[in-house]
Amino acid sequence: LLATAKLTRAAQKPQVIKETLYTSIMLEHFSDGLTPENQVRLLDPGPVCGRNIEFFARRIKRLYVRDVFTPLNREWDEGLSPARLWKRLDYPKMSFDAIMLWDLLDHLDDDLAAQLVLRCHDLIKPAGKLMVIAKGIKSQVPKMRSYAVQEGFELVAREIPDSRLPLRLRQNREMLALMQPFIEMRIFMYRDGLREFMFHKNSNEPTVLDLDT
Amino acid sequence: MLRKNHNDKGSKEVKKDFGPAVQPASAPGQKTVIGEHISIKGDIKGKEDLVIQGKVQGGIELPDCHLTIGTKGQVEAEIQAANVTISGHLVGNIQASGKVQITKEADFRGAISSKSISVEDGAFLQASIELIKEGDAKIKRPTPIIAPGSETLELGKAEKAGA
Repeated sequence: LLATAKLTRAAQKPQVIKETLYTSIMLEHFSDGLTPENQVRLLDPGPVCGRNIEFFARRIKRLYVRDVFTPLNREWDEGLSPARLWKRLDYPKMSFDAIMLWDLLDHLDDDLAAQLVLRCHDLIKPAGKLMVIAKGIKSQVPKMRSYAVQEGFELVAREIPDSRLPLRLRQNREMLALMQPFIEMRIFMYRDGLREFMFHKNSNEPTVLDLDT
Repeated sequence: MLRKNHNDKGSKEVKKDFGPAVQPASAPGQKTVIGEHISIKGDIKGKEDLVIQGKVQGGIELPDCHLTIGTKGQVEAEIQAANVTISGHLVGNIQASGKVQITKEADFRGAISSKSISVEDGAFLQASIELIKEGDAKIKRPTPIIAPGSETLELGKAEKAGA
């Protein structure tokens, strides 16, 4: 009975969601030029975050939210092999001016991560931007995090409680190799090792990758 | 509301007045509920708030009113309303002159064109969102982009309908 009572208490204990706050230098750069007048189309394939939807939808022409995390997490739970990521991002080529990959790559194996990067390259218009947030290589945060935009380009990193996708941290050189289809613009590193990357697609580059075939 | 029964003037008895069975459709604050066990195929037009807990397939036009899709609601529709709250399953495009609210229980696939939006974390979205800025002439029909042969066929249908 005592054991049962303890289990019940544990089940009822509210989950503590760990949060950290930092000012994102990259977000300010990323937001430059994102205006409705520029007809900007932005894709967020990460977990749904209400703050980010409100923040970006006010600033751009059209925001696309396509959560690939939730189905991947579910497939992982059910022991299924994940469907090809490009099928989840079934937009025509060169649809977007910018894409955000915040924490998603840290929870994809090399094959899935490469699929996602190639798909993003295909979907971004020439000279389009890709903003990546990746945990530090010594990160002790095994769960996926969502990053919610606050005032003054601050980001609150919140652990997603039911995230069970495994962690695959990458060194900077591994990240840059993974992002090879893109041109590197900037990297910012923070005290806890968190990294923000900005890449862009060559403005003269024709789209030659055809993942649909 | 309570009122005296005038048929019995001497009596102090007070009876409840339940009012007529059918209220005028445009009564302020009036709302209609489509219950959990109701299915409707076809268009719905109206001038009062609507709550859907059942299944609806078709078009919904409530240009001055609030549409709520409850947690048990399953809707495939083109929607035009003043305000929309989604807590259930919706495949379709929304044109709202006011606010769209999406709660964490929602599963929404489609395009939104509205003046403002709020989304609770945990909702499942496959959506495109365009906020109408001050000075825009009117709420535009959503124009999402969608690839042919989409894996998410239902989304494809919904988004194509709005294109």
